[in-house]
Amino acid sequence: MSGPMGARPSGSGANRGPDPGRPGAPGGLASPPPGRRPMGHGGPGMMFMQAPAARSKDFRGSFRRLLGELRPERPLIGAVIVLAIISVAFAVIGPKLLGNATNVLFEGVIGKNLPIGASKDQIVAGLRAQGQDTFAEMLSSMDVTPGVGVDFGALSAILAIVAVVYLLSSVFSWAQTYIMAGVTQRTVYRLRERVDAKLGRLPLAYFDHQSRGDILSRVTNDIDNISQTLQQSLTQLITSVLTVLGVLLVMLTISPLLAVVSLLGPL
Amino acid sequence: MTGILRTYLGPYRRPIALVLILLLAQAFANLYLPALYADIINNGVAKGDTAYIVQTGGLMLGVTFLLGIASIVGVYWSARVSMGFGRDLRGAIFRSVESFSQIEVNQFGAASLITRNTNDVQQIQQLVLLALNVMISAPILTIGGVIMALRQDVPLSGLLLVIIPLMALLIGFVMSRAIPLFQAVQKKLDRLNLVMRETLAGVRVIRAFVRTRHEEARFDEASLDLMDTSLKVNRLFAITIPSLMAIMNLSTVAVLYFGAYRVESGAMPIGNLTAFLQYILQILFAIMTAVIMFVMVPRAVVSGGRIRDVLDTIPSIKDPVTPRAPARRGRVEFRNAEFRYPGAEEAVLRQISFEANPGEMTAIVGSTGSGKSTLINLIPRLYDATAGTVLVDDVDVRDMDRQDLWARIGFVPQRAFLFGGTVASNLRIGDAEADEATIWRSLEIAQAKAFVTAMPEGLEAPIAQGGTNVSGGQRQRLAIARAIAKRPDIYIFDDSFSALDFRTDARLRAAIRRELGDATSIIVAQRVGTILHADRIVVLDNGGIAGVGTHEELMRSCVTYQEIVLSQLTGEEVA
Repeated sequence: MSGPMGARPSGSGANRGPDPGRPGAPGGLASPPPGRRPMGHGGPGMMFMQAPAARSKDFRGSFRRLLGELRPERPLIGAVIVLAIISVAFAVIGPKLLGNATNVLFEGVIGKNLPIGASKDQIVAGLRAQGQDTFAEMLSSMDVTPGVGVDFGALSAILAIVAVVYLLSSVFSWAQTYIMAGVTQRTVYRLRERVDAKLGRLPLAYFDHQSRGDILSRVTNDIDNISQTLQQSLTQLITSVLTVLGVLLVMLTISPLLAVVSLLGPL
Repeated sequence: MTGILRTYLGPYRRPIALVLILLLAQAFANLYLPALYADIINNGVAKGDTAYIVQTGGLMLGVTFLLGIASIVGVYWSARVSMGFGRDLRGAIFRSVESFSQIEVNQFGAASLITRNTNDVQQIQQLVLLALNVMISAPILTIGGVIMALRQDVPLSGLLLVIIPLMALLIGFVMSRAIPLFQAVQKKLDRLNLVMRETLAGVRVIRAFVRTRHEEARFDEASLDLMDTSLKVNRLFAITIPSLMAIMNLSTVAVLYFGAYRVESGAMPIGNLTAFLQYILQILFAIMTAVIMFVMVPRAVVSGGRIRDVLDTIPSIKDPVTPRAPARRGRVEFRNAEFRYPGAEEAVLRQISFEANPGEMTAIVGSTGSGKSTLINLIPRLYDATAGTVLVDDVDVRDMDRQDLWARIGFVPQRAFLFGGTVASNLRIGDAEADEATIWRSLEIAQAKAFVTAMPEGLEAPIAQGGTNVSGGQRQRLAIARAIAKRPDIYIFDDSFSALDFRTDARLRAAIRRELGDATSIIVAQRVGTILHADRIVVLDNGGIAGVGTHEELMRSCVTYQEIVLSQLTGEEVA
């Protein structure tokens, strides 16, 4: 009768929106970590929101208590944050370095089509004379040697570095989620134990005036939600904030003007 | 599963078509943008043609804007469709469960029925939502992406032959491990729930036998087990996402590296290289989202099966095609009635024959497990007799319309259950039209008038769900008043006085005898002392009738009855 999914208390998972970062996890305890950084253009189907659960009456108080539950794991959470910083730093530097590689390639392509023998300045002057000012300007700002194609030595070197940077970012990201999984599961385990112990001490009157399903759903469903929040939202919060800061920084170093334009764009 | 989808998505055919068309448009726009981008670089940037950049850039902005609108409308409608689908499905399950008899409810279990109506529906609903966002775009983006990549440069597309299998390998590895782990987690979660539910249900026993420690150890074991498995799942995913990211990022590097040679040799314009990069990322993303959807499918199929089980269950107790409606008198008769639970070897009730007439009080006594409650459940057809017949007003209950049958019966169950609302709303469950005078009168007979009057809101006093905000004795009396307010011909009290003190019990019985004298009353009793004056006592022993008669008759002739009486009298004397 009951399949492998068996019976769960009522309302379990009732306010969870689907989340592509969570491939079919049964219940929250099994949810995988979130997608790490904003991955290029999120294809269609990637824009879901978590349906809002019932609002807590005392959000700040509850939040502080939740932080209190994490107290024993403080050193590990510190480690998670450090690992996240490193991982995000690498992930953010990657595209910047990749941009350098593209520059080398682009300059090589442009350079190859310019006449051999002439110096860059001569060509720029020639272009100006022909009235092609924009192209001339672009050329003058580039590191081009006319007649010489792509510098494969430089390109390979940059790409090798990029590969290493990306790999390191993944390794640190893995370490971070790995540790966080332990933190979350241990915290949730302790929480369950404490609720159970408390139920063992509560007077019988409590059980008479509280519906059984309600208590059950607190022990399972509510703790489940906490586990999800810790495993998913907390990691996501840390990496997302760091990614936004990191990307902003890199954007500003590449071109302050473009950075401002892209920030004002959505407004 | 497909049946459920076809039936309950059918009404949403139009919005679904709209969503699919929008998805199609989005997919094509997503495939078009990188091509435009390549064009800008080849013909604009590389030649320093600012006008061309502005013109094509404007076109890109326009396409992106339309893409955004299509996506907003699409997500809005897919959300509406999937939520509406969930609502309709829950409604169908609810209606189906309402038609169930006790047998079907027991078969599934109340908790399981709740899970099926919430969690299982949720699973399918999520799949529908995801499918409405991915179904069309994933294959188009994958196939279209490959075609567009080939159009940029054929030799470079060879990279796809490495990258896609690599990704497939990783996904296959993770899935093969994740699916058994998911099932393990679910089992352990069920186990934890079971232990917790037992702890809650048996809290009194656990306290009385000082088993709290032992129960905590049991809970701890289940909790630890769950933690271990959850850790395994989370650690599996800890390695998965970074690996996928590494594959994507290294693909970018590889494309740039090999692409550089193609560009250098003049075989491929540089703009095509950037477009190629975007197509590769699109392909990988489409594959990933599709995989996520397919991970959800097996779970949703299981859920769908569990929902089907409920929807397809034909209630064993149905109304007859041509119901008979005899004149209302209140006579109840059992003729050789037998009952066995489905699949059970031994019958719970055998050869039950007796009658209960208007104006009489019939008591049913017997030891625990002798079948008393099952017996009276046969009258309102909570169960159907598996052999023999049960008659009300000389007609087989199976030949009567159940609404008509129930209108004749006032049933007070063993565990008094009140609905959330007020005192008045609970009393009007039997007769929605009952006026205040009738309600007060019923409360008075049920010995509930005093405490209801004492409540500041009186009849409008709030009652919590299940009646948890009144005491057990008050709950029982309200349940009795509810049956009285209905003014039935037949009263059935299933051990309904257990929570009352002797004085209230005696007064209540006297009032019932006085006020409801014309009706038939059938009382299941634990305390023999309270039914000594019944017109007829039916003694049950191990599912069979050990004797029928008055107290005096039975004391002379029935050994089982003598044993019950003697054991209780000594018991009371000791107490």
